[in-house]
Amino acid sequence: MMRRDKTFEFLIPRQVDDLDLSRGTALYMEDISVSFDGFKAINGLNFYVNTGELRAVIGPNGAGKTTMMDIITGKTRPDTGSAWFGRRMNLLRMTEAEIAEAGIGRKFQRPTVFENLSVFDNLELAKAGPRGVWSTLRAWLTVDEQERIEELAEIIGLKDHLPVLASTLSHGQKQWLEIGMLIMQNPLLLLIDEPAAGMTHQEMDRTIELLKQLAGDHAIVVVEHDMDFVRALDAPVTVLHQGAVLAEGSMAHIQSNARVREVYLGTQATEAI
Amino acid sequence: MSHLTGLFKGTPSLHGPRLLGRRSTLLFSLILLAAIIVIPICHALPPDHPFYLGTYSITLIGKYLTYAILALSVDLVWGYLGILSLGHAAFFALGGYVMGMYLMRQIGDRGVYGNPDLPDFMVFLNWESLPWYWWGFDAFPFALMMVLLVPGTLAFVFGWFAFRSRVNGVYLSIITQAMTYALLLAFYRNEMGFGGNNGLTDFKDILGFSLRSDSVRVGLFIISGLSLLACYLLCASLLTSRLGKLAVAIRDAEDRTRFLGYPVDRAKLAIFTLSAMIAGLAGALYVPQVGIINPGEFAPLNSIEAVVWVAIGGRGTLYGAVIGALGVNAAKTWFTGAYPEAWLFALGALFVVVTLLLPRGIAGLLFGRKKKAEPVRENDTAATTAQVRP
Repeated sequence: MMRRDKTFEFLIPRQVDDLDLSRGTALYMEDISVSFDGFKAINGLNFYVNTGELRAVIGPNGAGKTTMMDIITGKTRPDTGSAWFGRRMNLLRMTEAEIAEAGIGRKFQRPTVFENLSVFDNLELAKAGPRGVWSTLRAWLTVDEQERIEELAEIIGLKDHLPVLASTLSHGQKQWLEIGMLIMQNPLLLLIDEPAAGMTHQEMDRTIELLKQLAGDHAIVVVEHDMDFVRALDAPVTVLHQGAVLAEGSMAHIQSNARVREVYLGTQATEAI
Repeated sequence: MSHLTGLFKGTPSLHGPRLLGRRSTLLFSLILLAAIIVIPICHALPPDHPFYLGTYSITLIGKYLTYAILALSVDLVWGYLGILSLGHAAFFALGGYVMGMYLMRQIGDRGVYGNPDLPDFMVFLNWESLPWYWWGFDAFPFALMMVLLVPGTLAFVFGWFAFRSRVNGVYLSIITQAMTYALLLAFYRNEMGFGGNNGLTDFKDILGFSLRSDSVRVGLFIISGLSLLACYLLCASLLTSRLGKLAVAIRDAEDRTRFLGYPVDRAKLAIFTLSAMIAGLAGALYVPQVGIINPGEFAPLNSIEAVVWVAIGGRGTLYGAVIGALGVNAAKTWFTGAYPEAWLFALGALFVVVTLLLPRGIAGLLFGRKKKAEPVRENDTAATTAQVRP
């Protein structure tokens, strides 16, 4: 499909070496569409995230939340549209590994930590740095790096657990450890899928605190079903519906939006919100 | 290697239960060194002394030590990297064959046929000249290099294909088994030029010293012991490095490791190749002590036995592998003398018992009082009532 405001695909420079966040926008997604066997999972989606922003994404099942994450991390290629990380990195031209290296981290719903390694070793392995076999063999932690791991452990509430095997952690602690492992990779944008799933209320509160603390240094996009969690997160909310943005704004703004009540919350609208 | 120095004074990481406590490494090294010193002294005692050890016993123990090296190499890939190789005896046998070729060339014209250029079996087969792949084996340094290179190359090529195509788990085990079986069949053939069915034997000298002399036997024992120590320290240093942690991470969650950006295939390939070289070294030390190498060493059963040693000794602990190899083989020697028919049943029963009752093997039994570090939980009630989703 030709568009007047666009040049040919092959003329778009493929720059993966230079991240330019000077305009304060970490992620631009414009006019993204993707369909699977005729089903439009994403339909003309526009989505922007500012640097250091904390953003919640909600939407009913099948609204395209996971597909959106897949597009950002390079797992799925959209049929049309453009996606940029910063001003220069064209996400649609980068591989999954390149995107991860450029600074987009993703936390999946189920925590997968290395159970037979200590919390410290988990964080050490996740640390950004050379990944080759030889350099891994000769890797040495500097005092700074060690302190950084300890600081981060403090933030994720696992400072006392550093020498403990990850398998002994509770479910919530594993989630935090995994968020910590993501942070060790110095991502500029963090995508977090349902962090509150399976958490107790206390753990949720801690998670919210943690995410708020991490926002600012990292742009964070949280996909969550739990309304209490999103409300407590007190962040701008994007509502997805049928693969497009239905509404965007503060929680109060979203709650008062008639369309949102209608399509997302259905009949139990008033009780749920 | 810089890690060897760090081995005793502690690893860079100050946290975490170390994969190998440096205390166990130190203790193991001391015990092994003591054995290397004490056993030759026992040999030097007068024959009627209660602690006297004959040449036969020394050679027997030396043979066990080479098995222990093989067990280390199996444990390295199985215990830490999660690759269950059922073909490690192939690397062992290849190392043995390389050493056997050197020893054959040492015979010179003292063979039955007295041919200075050709080993006996080639004369017997009416071969005109030495095949090209036998060239250079007169030189010990070349043979020594080949001891590492031949198994290493096979492992590299094998692993390159297997790991790249993401062959994992039981499929990989089956392929390794097929590999050793294929080599068994190939080495049985006379055309291969490795002595066929009979293999290589009738060795006379090593480096000009007679293999039959007592001092050479003791020397070979000492070298085997020191090699075991060196391999142990090499493995321990590798496993305490970040690569060791990576290996455990690959073993437990390969995809996650890949997602972190690590070149999983290359890491596996490197460790697998190193392991094959260690197994090759073990084979090379084995052959001069037993005096023969034949295709039987490639038998799939041998590889499986090596895995059983490691399982019984304690998979995932290096000293466990050594304990398993020494213990099982000592038992085997006694059993096959006392109740020859019962040995395989005993081995099978032992394996079943260990698998069912002692998942961490003898090492787990010996050092099983592992402190279950109870994490200090922030919200005690929260942690206990946490509904953990599957």
